[in-house]
Amino acid sequence: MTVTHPLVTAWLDRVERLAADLSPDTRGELLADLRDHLDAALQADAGDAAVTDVLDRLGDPVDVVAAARADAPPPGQVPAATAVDAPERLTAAEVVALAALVLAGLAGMLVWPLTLVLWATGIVIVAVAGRWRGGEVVGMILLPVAWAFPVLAMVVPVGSTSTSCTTSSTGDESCVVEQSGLGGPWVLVATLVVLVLIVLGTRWLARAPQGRPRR
Amino acid sequence: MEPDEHDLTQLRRGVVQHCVLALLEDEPRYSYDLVTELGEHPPLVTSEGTIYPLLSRLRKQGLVTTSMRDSEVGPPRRYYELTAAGRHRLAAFREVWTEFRRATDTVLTTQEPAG
Repeated sequence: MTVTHPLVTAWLDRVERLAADLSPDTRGELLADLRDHLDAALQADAGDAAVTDVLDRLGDPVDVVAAARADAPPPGQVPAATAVDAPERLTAAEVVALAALVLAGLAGMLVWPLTLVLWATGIVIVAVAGRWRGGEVVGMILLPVAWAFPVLAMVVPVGSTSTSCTTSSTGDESCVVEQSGLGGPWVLVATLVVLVLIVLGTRWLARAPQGRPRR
Repeated sequence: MEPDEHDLTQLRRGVVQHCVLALLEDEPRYSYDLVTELGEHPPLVTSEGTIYPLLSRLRKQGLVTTSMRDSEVGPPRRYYELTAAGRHRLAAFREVWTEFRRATDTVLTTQEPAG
């Protein structure tokens, strides 16, 4: 039942005028809520005293519209929370840390102590930055270790050599030494696999902390 | 001396919305009942009318949802209900508020002039 008491109508009109600068959605919703409230609070034939009492509790239209304005930021205005949560890019130091860790193993092929230096540098920066989480930190520490596989594949001969000898009818013994032939391809395969793992791992580690606030 | 109205507004900001969530904790509530009950605690709200924009914001933030329910005595009524996110927010606020209140009380009591 819609209350049509002149005081109610005047009160709602005042709200509508004051809310003219709010978005149509906000204004419409506010007016509908207030209308429902008044209809629930008052009988259709409510007297002046009852109407005044209900309107007093609803409050001054100025306060009501001010509350609506405070709670509904004008369109286009970015809420503060979004700005705070905006992704944070990696800092230069963090990029250096990542690069040091990735290159640590590679450098080891040339000058092995360099591996330790780069590795330690990377881990210290990562620890100080505090941007990566448990599993990611383990990944970073293991990243340089991945290089060990192609390095080992090159250094350590893979596959065994076999010597097969035959004795001919004349008594001459001829021996053929055969390499199992896996050494070359295995180095290549191991290198490719590790390269792919390192590229994917680095990408993951570089992206994981973005969008996460610093501790 | 009454606190300045501006100070009160600042104080309410961030507190009252959690009182709304608390009122919805046990069951969905008819908007009119919700607003009039909150209005019975004068320090919390300026007036009943100012609660509707707050409800609207809580809905947009996904902390409450609304639904229309048929009424025996009139048109369908809008009901407010707590979402999982709202429940979560309420639990978090309870913890913060307890510490906040304790710390404030401690400081206010310590600084209270003797006599």
